[in-house]
Amino acid sequence: MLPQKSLRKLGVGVNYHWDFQDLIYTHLDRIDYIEVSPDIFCEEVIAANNSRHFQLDARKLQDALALGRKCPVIVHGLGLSLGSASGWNADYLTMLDNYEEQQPFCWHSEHLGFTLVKNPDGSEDHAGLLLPMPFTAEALDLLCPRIQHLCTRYSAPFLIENTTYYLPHFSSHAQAWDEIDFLNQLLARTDCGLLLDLYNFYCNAINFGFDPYAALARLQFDRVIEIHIAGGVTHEGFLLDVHSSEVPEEVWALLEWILPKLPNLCAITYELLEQALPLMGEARIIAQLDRCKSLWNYYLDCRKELDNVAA
Amino acid sequence: MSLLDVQRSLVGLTRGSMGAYENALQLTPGEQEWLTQILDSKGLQVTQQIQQWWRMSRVCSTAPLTIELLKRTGLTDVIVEYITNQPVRTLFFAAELEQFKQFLENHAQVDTTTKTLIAFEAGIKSASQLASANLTTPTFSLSLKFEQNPLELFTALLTGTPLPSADSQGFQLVVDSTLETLWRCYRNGAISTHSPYEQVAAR
Ligand SMILES: [Fe+2]
Repeated sequence: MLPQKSLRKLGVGVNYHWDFQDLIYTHLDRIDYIEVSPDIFCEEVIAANNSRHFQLDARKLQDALALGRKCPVIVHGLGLSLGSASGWNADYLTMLDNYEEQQPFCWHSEHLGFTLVKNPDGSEDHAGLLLPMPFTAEALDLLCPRIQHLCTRYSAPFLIENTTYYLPHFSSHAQAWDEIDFLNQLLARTDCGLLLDLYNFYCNAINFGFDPYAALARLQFDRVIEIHIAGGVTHEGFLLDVHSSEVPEEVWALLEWILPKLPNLCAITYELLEQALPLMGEARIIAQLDRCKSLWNYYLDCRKELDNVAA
Repeated sequence: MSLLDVQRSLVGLTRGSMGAYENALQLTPGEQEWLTQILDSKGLQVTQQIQQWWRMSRVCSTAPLTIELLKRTGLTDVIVEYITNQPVRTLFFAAELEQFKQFLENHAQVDTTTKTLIAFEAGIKSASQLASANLTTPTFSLSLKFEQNPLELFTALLTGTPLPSADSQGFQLVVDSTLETLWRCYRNGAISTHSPYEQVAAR
């Protein structure tokens, strides 16, 4: 079932980290939901034979569960390595199965990319960061059944998130698809929704010199369920996806432009790295959430108007 | 070039080179050119740097005393060697710390004090994980002998003051998941106070 059929509009939220707990509890009137990466409650144990398993930190989990009784929760996974040709990290799903038993969530999402690869000798290497998928038919064939499985494994729908990449020529390799073509094909061939990370997309547009408006205009808008916004830094001429600062004005403008086009949008999440908390301070973070909330209200007004016209 | 080969190549490139693996691939001229373009790109350098920053931040946050001691004893190159040459295995803190500990234990340039210190920091991580798991069993326990007063060593590393000389005897640190502070210092079998140093255990 497509996700938009079953979801309620949540509003504006922030990613969860225990360092943000005081801020979130204090501002529950502003923060409509939290986005939880359950991986952060775990450590990874790597056995001598290279097998991996998660070890849960019950105290960290309990703190998040307590907050989850105060506001809705959505899940944003980090460790599945969805696109690994040599097999995804199945232990992530075991961990998410256990988490779901304790914490209901409205939907779950993962990044379009991979981190793990098995070598010819059977050993496994880790990229150390999320690497992009090439926009090829082979990648699509690998991803679609996996995504479809994720759409049905839990009672909550699944969203795929576009990512930032810095390696060149991903669009020109093998055939002429670009990121938007690839995302649209993933959406056409599966029941997943899209977690559109506007900041990631903006980084790619700046780093590789394309027009984000022209590209996004080709996106299948009705499948966008959630939007991520964030800020970062420029390094060696590249805009980096580090979630360390305020959202750039250009991304706010993109958000305002795209909002009225998204009939099934349910949430806008401001993503922030925990290390940014002492650097930015609470007031600046809250100002970002408030700006987000006013755009969310603008979005609701636009939808109401469009619905009235349609009626 | 299959998707698996593309991914193996990309992971290899983010670690600096594809090494022997590249020779085993049957690359078309177009594929060879594509990989060469990536190899020569600024984007690859940035990707490598991001990977190294994250890794450095994992090591610095889980083994701050050891990192400081390596720097103080002129072994910054050993940290760089770990970050740049050792294969990446994980994005998680405890697993990275364990890998760093094993690397230091096997490194000829690293002295006994540093090896004991990384064992202490890794032990604290293991003990705190077990304590947080709310399990009564299994427990974690480790006993480490120091050639100087470990409390003075920690103070020196945390405050930037001179390191104590390694000529004292009888100091022992016990790391134990059943202790409230996770660790305790003994001298000749008697408990040494460590209340000013609890910031180390409280990490
Ligand atoms: Fe994101």
